[in-house]
Amino acid sequence: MRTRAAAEQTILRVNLSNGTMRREPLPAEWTRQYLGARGMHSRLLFNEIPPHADPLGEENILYFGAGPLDGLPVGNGRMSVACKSPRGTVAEGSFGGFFGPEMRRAGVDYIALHGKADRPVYLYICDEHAELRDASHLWGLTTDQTDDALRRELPDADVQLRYIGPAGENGVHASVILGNRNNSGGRAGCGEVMGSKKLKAIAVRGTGGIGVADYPAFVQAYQTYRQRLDLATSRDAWTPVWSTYGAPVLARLFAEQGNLMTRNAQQMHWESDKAVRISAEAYLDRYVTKAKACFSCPWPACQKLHTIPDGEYAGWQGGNYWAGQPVVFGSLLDIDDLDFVLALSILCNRYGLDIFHVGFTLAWAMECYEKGILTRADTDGLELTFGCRDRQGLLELVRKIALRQGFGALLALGCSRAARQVGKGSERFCLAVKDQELEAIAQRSFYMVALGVAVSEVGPDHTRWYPPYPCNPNLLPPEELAALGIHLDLKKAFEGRNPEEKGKLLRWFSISRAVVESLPGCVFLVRDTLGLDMRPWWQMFRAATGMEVDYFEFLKAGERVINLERAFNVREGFRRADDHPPYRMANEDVPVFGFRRLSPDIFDPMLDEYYDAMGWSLTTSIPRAQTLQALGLADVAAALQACGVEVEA
Amino acid sequence: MSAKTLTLRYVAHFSTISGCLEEVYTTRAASVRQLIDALDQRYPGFAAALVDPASGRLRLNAAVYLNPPAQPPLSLLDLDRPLEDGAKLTFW
Amino acid sequence: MKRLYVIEDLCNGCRLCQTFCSSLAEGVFSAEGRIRVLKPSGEAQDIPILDCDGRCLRPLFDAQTPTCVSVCPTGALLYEEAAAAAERRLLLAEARRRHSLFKVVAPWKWPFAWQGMPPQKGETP
Repeated sequence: MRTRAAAEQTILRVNLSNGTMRREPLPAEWTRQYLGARGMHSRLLFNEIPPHADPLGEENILYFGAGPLDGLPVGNGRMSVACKSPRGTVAEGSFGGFFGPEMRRAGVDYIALHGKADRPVYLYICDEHAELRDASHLWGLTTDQTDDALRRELPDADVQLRYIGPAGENGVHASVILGNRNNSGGRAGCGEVMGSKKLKAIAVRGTGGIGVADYPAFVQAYQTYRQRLDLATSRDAWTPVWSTYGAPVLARLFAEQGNLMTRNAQQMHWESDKAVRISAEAYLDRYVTKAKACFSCPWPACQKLHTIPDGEYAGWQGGNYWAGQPVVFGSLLDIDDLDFVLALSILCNRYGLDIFHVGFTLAWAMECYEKGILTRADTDGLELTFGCRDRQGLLELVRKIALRQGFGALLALGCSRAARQVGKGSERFCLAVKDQELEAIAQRSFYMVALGVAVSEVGPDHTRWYPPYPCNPNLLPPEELAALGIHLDLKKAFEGRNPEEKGKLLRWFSISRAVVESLPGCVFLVRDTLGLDMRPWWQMFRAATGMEVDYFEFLKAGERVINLERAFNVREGFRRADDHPPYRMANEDVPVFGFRRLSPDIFDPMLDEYYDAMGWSLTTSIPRAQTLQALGLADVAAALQACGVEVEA
Repeated sequence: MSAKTLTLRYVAHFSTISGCLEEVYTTRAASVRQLIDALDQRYPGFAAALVDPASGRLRLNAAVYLNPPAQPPLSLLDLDRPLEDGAKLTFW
Repeated sequence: MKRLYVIEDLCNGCRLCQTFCSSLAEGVFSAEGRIRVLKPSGEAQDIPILDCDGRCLRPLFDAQTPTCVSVCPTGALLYEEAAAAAERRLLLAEARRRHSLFKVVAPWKWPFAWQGMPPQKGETP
């Protein structure tokens, strides 16, 4: 068996235009500076994609990347996918599953896809072997059909796959890449870019092994990490809930707390009986057939497989019911039938559509319909009301989004571009930031979320600051926090509707989560103290790679990642004015409990505090020269200046 | 002490203990702690899942939310907080 | 004599057992363990296959417990005498009759009471 060192990081460059390929090692010091996965991608994106490149053209590069902890029993199979988004920003997303470890075992840590194929292809990698294969017979297939077809064609049960569905092929906004049937990622634009390159799928099989530098130290660090997360020992109320029932338990609570976006967030409360009908408890009872997990996850059943047992969608199978679906297909559309919510979700996965795009864009369209801005003449005759009585019609509309047909072609643009096309004030109902739809968590009751969503370099993405809920502040007393470099009043920082400390809290979240996503590990596993005390992650990294790196130097990697991603966006023209909540959140009060809109007196000081804490210009959001210098990113400042960007000292 | 009518909600594993998701419950309990003790009689193991026997405080892997009537919910750490008629409590 | 037992429909396919097992001889993590989780149909099935008598090369977390059993998150692996293993199977069947939670986790991995039953003791790494 071929053995590699955990620290080794190799990139496979594939030119889709001419079919050439080569493997090259990445600079060893990059592992120390950017760790891997998302971090490595931040450097590659900035260095290799020319400013103002056409996102759907030959110059854009799509990266798939694992990292030093992938393939080890702590990487959770997480991996990063990145490119320039069709919206102009960085597009980066992560997903779980088994693909990342398989890449590592094949000796390929990163795949860079340059150029564009002239006909549909898929990339097949098996250890040292790599080839582009014809994918004409796969083009147009749904993701489940593609998975089945490739498994027949590549008769090795352990081959790992990533593929797009018809949505990605057709350049539908926010379409995702999927793998292991139900793990999706890259909603920031990666599916569209993969489709533009005519790359239907990647298949990888690796038979090697990965050696760690200090095995006993690695096992010891694993034990600490595992104790923080294990059902029996985790000091966290989320651990038993998330690891078995799952995040949708939140919908029942949020429904009455002014925290659940209902009817396109016109309301923020939902009737309790409706929330019970689509609850995690109802899901586990009626639909779940089996526990599932990503590679090496310490939790028993964060994921599940489900089958709709009877009724109109009897036999429909899928997987995973996260915090997103009960909001985007439940309260947001005022649908309280879990069969139908799951059917919508299953259909999105089959077609490779992003559930947040589909949910928020449907909700926008329903509000337009309610207010007479859109009529049956626009919707191909569909009565597009909240609650949606015409279920067959709504499912058909989702298909039409993926295929860009009829009214679906408008919604395939995403809510922002659709609203700009329709006009008539419909922009005010569009819940998006940087032209990307929001996610599940309310903003006017969780200010940290509002700030995190507004500043995110990739558009709304909860993994950049998850979780927004307080860990128990008693776990780490202030002096211990200070020793860990966290100078925050945690109690104040975790108060949902208090703007104080939010900028500093978000800085910590942004940096520490960037570290986790670069190792990579799973950001949903920052429970107990693992989101504040990063030493177990640091110890695992050191033991795996053998790199002697100081704790605070290790955390700086996360800071470099955020600054590089910000610099990429700055070079493309994004500035402070783009870091703003959607119109509704900034201009309309919540109609319960007197929760206020995110008016400038609330939002602006949080934004100032964040930029200040990051060392960025308060007026432009551009990283300051001294900030970049201190992170060893002087070349980034120079590159920005060379493009005519004014970098403050 | 007058009787209070409370709405109790059991999330995830608390529903595996109680066997229901939600119930209306009338009690003379003065505080959350007394309520938990009363519920432990009905649902054996309920108190042990919520209260750390050594310190008498809320366990670090449990949470209680309290919605006083017509007010936003509070994440509760103090189990001796008095109960008001009409409150809603969520256990997880 | 204690033996390893697999409860197939509790396996969630994470491959912690296989990955840790592969590392016990030489500290190299791979897919080559004495326990392997087969996924013959994509993600629909996870089937752990044993080629091991339970005498663990290196019990990493508890001298009495094979490493694979220690790291299993769902309770799908048992290291027990035959009678004790049978008891566990019966407990699982009873738990599943009473509550849907036990479709996804074994009662001996669940640290809380359920439906009148006290918490059961299980392995923790």
